Parts: sequence; C-alpha cells; structure tokens
Amino acid sequence: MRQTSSSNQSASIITNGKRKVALGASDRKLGMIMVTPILIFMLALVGFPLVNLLVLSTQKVNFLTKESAFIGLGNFANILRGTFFWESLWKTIVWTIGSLIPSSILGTLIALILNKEFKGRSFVRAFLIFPYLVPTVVVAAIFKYMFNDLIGIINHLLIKIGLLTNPINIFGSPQWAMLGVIVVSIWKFTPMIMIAVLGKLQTIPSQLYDAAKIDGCNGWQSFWHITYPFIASVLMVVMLIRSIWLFNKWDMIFLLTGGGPLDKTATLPLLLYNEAFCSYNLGRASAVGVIMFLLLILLSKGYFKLYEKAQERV
Amino acid sequence: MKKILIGFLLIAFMMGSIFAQGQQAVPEAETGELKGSIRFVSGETDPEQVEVHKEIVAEFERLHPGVKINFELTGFDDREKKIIADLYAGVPTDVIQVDSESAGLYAQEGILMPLDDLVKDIGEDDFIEGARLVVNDHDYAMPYSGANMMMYVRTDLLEAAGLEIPKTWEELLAAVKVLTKGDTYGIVLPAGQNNATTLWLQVFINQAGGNVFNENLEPTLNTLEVIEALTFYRDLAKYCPPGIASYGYGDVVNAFVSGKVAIAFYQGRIIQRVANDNPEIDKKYELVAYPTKDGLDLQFASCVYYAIGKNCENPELAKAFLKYLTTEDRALRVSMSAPGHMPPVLKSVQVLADTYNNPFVQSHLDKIKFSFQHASNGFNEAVNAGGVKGDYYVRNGIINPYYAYVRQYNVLSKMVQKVVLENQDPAQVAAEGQKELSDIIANNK
Amino acid sequence: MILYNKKFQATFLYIGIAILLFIALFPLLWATICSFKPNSELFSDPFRLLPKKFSIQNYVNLFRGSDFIRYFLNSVFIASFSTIFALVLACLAGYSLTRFKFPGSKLLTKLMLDAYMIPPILLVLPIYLIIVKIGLRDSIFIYALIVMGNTLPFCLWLVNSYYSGISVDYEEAAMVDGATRFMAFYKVVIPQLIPAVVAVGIQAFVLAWNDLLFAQILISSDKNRTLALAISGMFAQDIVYPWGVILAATVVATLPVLIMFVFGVDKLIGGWSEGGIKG
Repeated sequence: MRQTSSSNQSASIITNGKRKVALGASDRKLGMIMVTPILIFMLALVGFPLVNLLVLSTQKVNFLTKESAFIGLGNFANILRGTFFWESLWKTIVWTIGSLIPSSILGTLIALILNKEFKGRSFVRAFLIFPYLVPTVVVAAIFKYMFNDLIGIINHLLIKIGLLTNPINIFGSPQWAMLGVIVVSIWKFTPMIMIAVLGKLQTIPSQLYDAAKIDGCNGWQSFWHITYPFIASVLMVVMLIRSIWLFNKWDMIFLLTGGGPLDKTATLPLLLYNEAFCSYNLGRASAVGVIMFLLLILLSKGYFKLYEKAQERV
Repeated sequence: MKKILIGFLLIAFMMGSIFAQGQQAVPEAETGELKGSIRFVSGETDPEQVEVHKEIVAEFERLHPGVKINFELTGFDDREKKIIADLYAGVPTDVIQVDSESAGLYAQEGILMPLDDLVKDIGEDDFIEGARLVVNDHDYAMPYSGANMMMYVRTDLLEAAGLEIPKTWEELLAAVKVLTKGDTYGIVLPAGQNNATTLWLQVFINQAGGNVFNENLEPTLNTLEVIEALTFYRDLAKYCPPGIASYGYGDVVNAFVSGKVAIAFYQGRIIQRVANDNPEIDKKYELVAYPTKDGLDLQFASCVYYAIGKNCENPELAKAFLKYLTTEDRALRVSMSAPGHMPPVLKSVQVLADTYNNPFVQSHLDKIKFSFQHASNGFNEAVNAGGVKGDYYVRNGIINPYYAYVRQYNVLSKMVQKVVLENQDPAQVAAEGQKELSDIIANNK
Repeated sequence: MILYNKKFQATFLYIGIAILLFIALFPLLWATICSFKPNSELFSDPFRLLPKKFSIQNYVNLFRGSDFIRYFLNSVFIASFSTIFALVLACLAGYSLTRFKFPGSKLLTKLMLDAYMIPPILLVLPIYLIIVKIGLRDSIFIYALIVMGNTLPFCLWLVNSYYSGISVDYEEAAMVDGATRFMAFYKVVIPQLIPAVVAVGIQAFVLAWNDLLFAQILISSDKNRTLALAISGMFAQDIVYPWGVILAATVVATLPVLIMFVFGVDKLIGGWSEGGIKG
C-alpha cells in the first residue's frame, strides 16, 4: 500500500487528463512565494518604467531643471503631424522586413541542408552558429573595417573581381546604407532561425519520408506536405520574435551608421534615442516610445491570429 | 563540465565584486596645510594622457600628505551629460573638464566658481590670446590646452606635380584637382553626421566672412557666405576618398596617415600617428595654416578648460591642485603626451618645449612649434557669436549657448551631406538649414 | 541517372556548405589576422592574407593603453551576475507557474510573457531618469540588475517552455512514492532541466555581454566601463583610434563567448526543438 507523503497534500496538476491529484493550500502558498521574487523585479524594472513612460509622454520636460508640465496629447500631435516620425516608421518597416524575410528563407534552407547526413556535420553546425554569438559591437567594428573604402577588404575584392570600379562606402551612401545594415543584420541573425528550424526538423520521424518515397513523392512534395507543416509553427514563432527584436534594434544601426547618412537609416529606436539623449526632448521621446509599444502590441496580436490559423491547418 | 562553468561564473562574480567597491575614506592631515579630498574629472582618455595625469596626481599627493585627489575618467561622449547632471543636481563638483561653450554657459548660469585669483597668480599676460574665459569680467575656467586646426600638406606630392603650397581657396581647389590621380586623393574632408563635419563647415563659413549666428544669437545661415562655404565643401569633396560620407575625426586622421591623401585639415595628433604608423612619409609633409579666402586670414583655434563647481566643498585644495596641474613642467608634460595636439596656453610653458628631453619631440620640434604658434592665432565662433565681419573679425566674447544645438541636431553636418551626397543646390540647402536651426531654437525655448 | 543526381547533389551540398562556412567565419578570422599585423602594415599592405610581420603590438597597446582588463572583468561580472540571478528567478517562477494553480497564475504567466515584447529602448529613458533622480548612476550593481531585468522575460519564456516539456508524471510518481515536493524537484526535475538551463544561460549571458544601450546611458566613469562600451567608444564617430588596436579589442571581447559556445553548442540546438515551439 503506497503511503502518500504527509508533509504536502498531493498537488493537482492537469496532465493530459491522466491523473489528478488534489492541490493543497501549502502548495498554493508555495507557488505564490516562488513567483514573488520575479514579480518584484519585473514590476520594478519593466512595469514601473513603462508606466513612467506613459506619464512622461504627456509632459513637456526641461532636461536641465527637471521641471515638467502636463500637456496632454501635445507630444503625440506634434509627432504624428510632422514627417520625421512617419519617415522613421517606414524605415523601420523596411529594415525589419528586409532583414526578416531573407534571414528566414536562408535560415530554413541552411537548416534543411544541415539536416542531411554528412561527414563533419556537427562541426559545421557549431561553426555556423558563430555569427549569432559574436557581440554586436564586435560585429559592427569588424564590418565597418571590412567595408572601409581605403583599407577594407570587401571593396578590394569586389574591385579585383570586377564588380566595382571604384571603392564605395556602403554605410555612407544615402542609397545603399540601409542595404548595408540589413546585410550585416542578416549575417548576424540568420543562425538563430537556423537553429530553431533545425531543432524542429530533427524531431520529424524519418518514417514519414520513407513512406512518402514509397508512395512516389518527389523532394518538393515531401517538403511541402511533411516538412513544412512541422516547421511552420516554429517558423512563425521565431519570425515573430525576430521581428520584434529587429523592430527594436538600436545598437546595430547606431554603431554602423549613427542613423545617417542624412537620417536614411534612422529607424524608430534611433529616433527615440536621439530625441531623448541628444536633443533632451524627453516628453517627445517618450511619446515615440509609447507609439512604438502600441505598434508592437498590434503586430503581435495580428501575428497570433495568423498563428492560430496556421495551427488549424495543421 | 557544468561544474566548471558554474565555478568559473562564481569566481568571476567574486572578482567583479572586488572591483566594484567604492572609494576609500581619506585620512585627515595633521598640519594646517592643504587637506581633504577632491574629485578630478577628466575626459582625456588617451592612454598617454591618462598616464601623465596619474603621475601628476601622485606627485601632488606626495607633496601634500593628507590630501587625496580622486581622479575619474568619464566616458567619451558622456562627459557633458554627467557634468550637467551633477551640476544641476547640486552634487559637489570639484575640478572638471569643460569645453569653451559649456564653460561659458555654466558661468552665465552661475554654477561655476570664479577663478580670478588663480589667473592673477599665474599672471594674466602669460596666457596666449583668446585662451582666457571671461564672463562678466570674471575668469570662470582655467585653460589647459589649445585645440587648433591646421593643414597638413604632402610636399613631396606637391613638388612632383609642380605646385606650391596653396594659400587661398582657389589655389587649394586647383591643387587638389591635380593631386587626385591613381589611387591618391587630393584631400580628405569628413562628411559624416558628426561633430567633425560640423566643425569643418563652421570654419569655412567663418573664413568666407560669415557667421552661423549673429551677435543677437539668431541663426544667419541663409547668407551668401554660407552658400560659398557649402559650394567650396562640395567642390573639394569631389577630390576626396569615396567613403567620406561616414568619416569623422578618426577617419580623416587614418586617411592622411595611410598616405593616400595629399592634404588634410586637423589638429596636431597626426604628427605622432604618422611617425608611428607610416614613418615613410614622416619627412614628406608640412604643417601650415589654412588657406584663406579673399584675404581674410581666419584660422580656427579653441581651448579646453578645467572649471571648479560653485558648490565645491574644498575650493582651496581645488585651486591649488588646478594651479599645480596647469603650470610649469606639469603642463608641459601634459602637452607633450600628445605632441603638437595639445599646445600649451601659457607662453612660459610653450618655451619649455625647446629643451624638452624627448627624442621624438626634438626631431619634430618645427612642426610642434608651428602648432603652438598657430594656437594663439585663432577664432572660435561658438564663444564669439557674430564676430566675423566680412573682411575682419572680432573676438567679442559673446558666448553662444545655442551652438550646442547645432551639434546635437547635426544641422551643419546635414547641410554638408545634402550638398555633397545628394548634390542639392547650396542656396536651397542654406535656406533649409536656416529654417531648421530657427525651428530647433524656437522649439527648445 | 539517379547516380548522377546523387553525386551532383553531394558536391553541390559540399560547395554550399563551404561557402556558408566561409561567410560565417571570415569576418572574425580576418579581424584576428589583421590584429596581429603591426598597425603600419594595415595601412601599407592591408590586403595580405597573412601578416608580413607577425606582431602583438596591437594587443600590447590595447592593454597598456587603457584599463582593458578592468573592462573585461566588469563585463564578466555583470554578465555572470545577471545570468545567474535571472536563471534562479526564472526557474523558481517557471516551476511555480507550470505546476501550481494559484489565483492569478494564468494572468501572471500571460503578463510576464508579454513583458518579453517590451523593447529595452522603451525602458531606457524612464529607467535613466529614475536612476539619476535617486543618484545611483554609475553603479555597477544597479547596472547589472537592470541588465538582468532585461533578460528576465526572455529567460522566463524559454524556461517555461522547457518546464512544460518536462512531464509531471515522474514527479507525481516520486511524490506518491513518499518523496517531498522538494526531493521530487531535486531528483526528477533538475536532471531534465539542466540542458535547458545551459541553453538559456548561454543566451542570457550573451545578451548581457552584448548590452550597449543601458551601458551607454548608465555608466559614466572609466572604472565601471564595460567591454561593449569601451569598444564602441573606439570607433565612435568622434574618436581617433588605430584600427589595429580596435581589432585586437574585438578579438579579446569575443573570446568568452567563444568558450561558452564550445561548452554548450549542442544544448543550444536541442533546446529550441523542445522549448521554442510552445510559444
């Protein structure tokens, strides 16, 4: 006869409808205690500043004297009426989608390749994750060096193989600066998508593929009907995460171009930073922040709707 | 393996905690001499300067037992923010580094301690022209180094092309055309959205006979002189390396040091960099003054200062240390930590360089002394608003607090970019710049 | 016909992999190689594959010229502190949220996971103002806490997924067999949690190691400077630093991350398959 533990009454956890054990009061208390520390920190470091941001966005603040005056939606009106916000929003969208789509396609392709058996596969996998782990400052420094017009290797090689006649400075060119930062971003973040997809690919039972081959499916069909449904969910999640991170990325662009030339790469995070710490226009900067936050909520809500639809398909 | 990792992290944790400890308490001196402690905040973060400052601090402490100088370095871009924050928060501020406009601004707001006695002690005549910072008839900061812009010219390349050293804008333009061939460029100018570009354009505007602001602190960008300056920038840019759109100070230096450009404008730092990184051209260039326009001999020179906060709790010590730091051989050693780049502002100190026992200095003495002499011959509009009057200029001492906006909002550098990168019409760009600057000032009132 | 296809596919595969490896590794390799060239060679002969004259002068200048070791240790401390703290908090909370049903737990979970969406760039301004007001600016502990706060939602999110993947049946079996909850946790959950902890830990460490935004705003004195801040200062627009020294700094800054990676790379891959999908 099994003895139940005397100190705790057994816990109630819903586990696929298998076994239910009653939830004790002490468990409930324990649960709340275990959550308290993280709750405190989250409130202090995330919740409270967020509220503060909201409040700030309705004020006009003098940085030097720290005086603030309530001006309601004045900051928002100012921003939405002017052009610099909308231009910046557009640039942010271009930057986000421009990095996201190639990254996702590339990451998936690489994952598919790495899913095949070949010698040295684990080494290759390990090395391809590299770019993701290298610190952003380091990436920016190295790429700036490589793209330098006088002593950078990329210009040199491109000229040598005849693609260019004169060295160009990609981060200083109004037309190409955005492309330049996108390229660096793709280099750094594709491995993240690759890992996610690869992880999921490895859980697909190979019998499915064997069965498909027997049934006469070719590569493309087995991809579409077997592989794709499995990785779709991972892809959606990881693409959502990446787009949020990209939307909010400040350091990469700041280090590569500083937002220039002529503000051509000034995405919303850079706009916020400039307003806050260069122009000391704290009220307006906060308003930009609030708008960004709302946009992000919209983005993720929309995404989850899509996600649910995709789930239904599977 | 996990254990190793955790062990490593724990050790790192502990080591870090040791480093993160605050400063220690200061023993009181027994004699009636100088005692106590002050903070000394400097933004000179180059290794050579840090070393020399540490030495000087140690010497002073040895001379005055019972005294502690807490030497702090601030971040690169951060100095202003930190100092502003501290000053306005009433945090006791002792010896801090400030640049000319900021010092002027803070002096006007009454948060700096007057240093008249210090200046008199050193001797008012010992200061080179334009170095003292006088607001309402009081000195509010002690200069410790000049910051002057000169022209570096590769005389070997000039000779090969049969050219003389350009002395006017027209001659410069003609020269760079000829000098740009092969993989050599005639000149290098910054065109990034940064302070370097702003400064370079400011100098051209002044040289053309114009001002960014007038004496009433109103922007005057929509003028013929500004258009001329922009046109000049644009014309010169054609003979620059392709990458200037993201160039700042560092890239200008690197470009000249690389040997691939014939002419560059900058302060004295290039002297040492060339000797270290490209000794081949060390004897092949000369330091001269900026070429001028229409006979107006205007050069740029400014200074960097130390100031003492009004709420300093130990002014006697602060002034004593400041005097020690900025005079005699200490000042010389600071200056020589970047030979030519930090010309001394006291004539008595400049003379000491002649006999400074350092082979590098002695072998480059002519260039270094040119820099010294050039430092007392300059004009900085940020502290002399509206001082340029067409064919002459006046150091009127009108400090311009709005000049900071020009830098923060990158007004001038964006104008350069529009003209250089997008080939926009300089007249239109000047008009737009005028509007932008006026709006910024209005919005920030 | 099929044979041709297979062989063609294989070569194609190998070429593709070679290209990918090259693209992924070249930048860092090139930086390393160039860091061992004397700075003058970077100007005179910049495109040589190997240094004409192997030199550690850049590294010497780097360490002699600034407190680089101090910046390095600062970063190590901050990243370690932030990671350990975040992991502990997240593991505690994750266990509670996935095992216990107490009033508000569902809402709490949702809220805390939503916090993941909040970008640091939004928080930096209010946090800066609060810190300045309290006068705690330039404190390395405060900075570490804030960095930790940044990685918390991410850690919680991942850890939660792993917890959901760990079947409760084993725990229940253990408890029915007489173990206390604590023992069940220790003996059953923890062994399964370890790969997750490593994976999350590495990513959290990397996030903390990388941080530039908060460092730029909150750290002002030289003694508290972090690695990211130091390096960004070396090639920021207004500074004059020789490229050789900058590249040497990048190599040094990447080393710890490389080491972590050698330790835990397989965990990283495995982790996403179980963790990431539960969304």
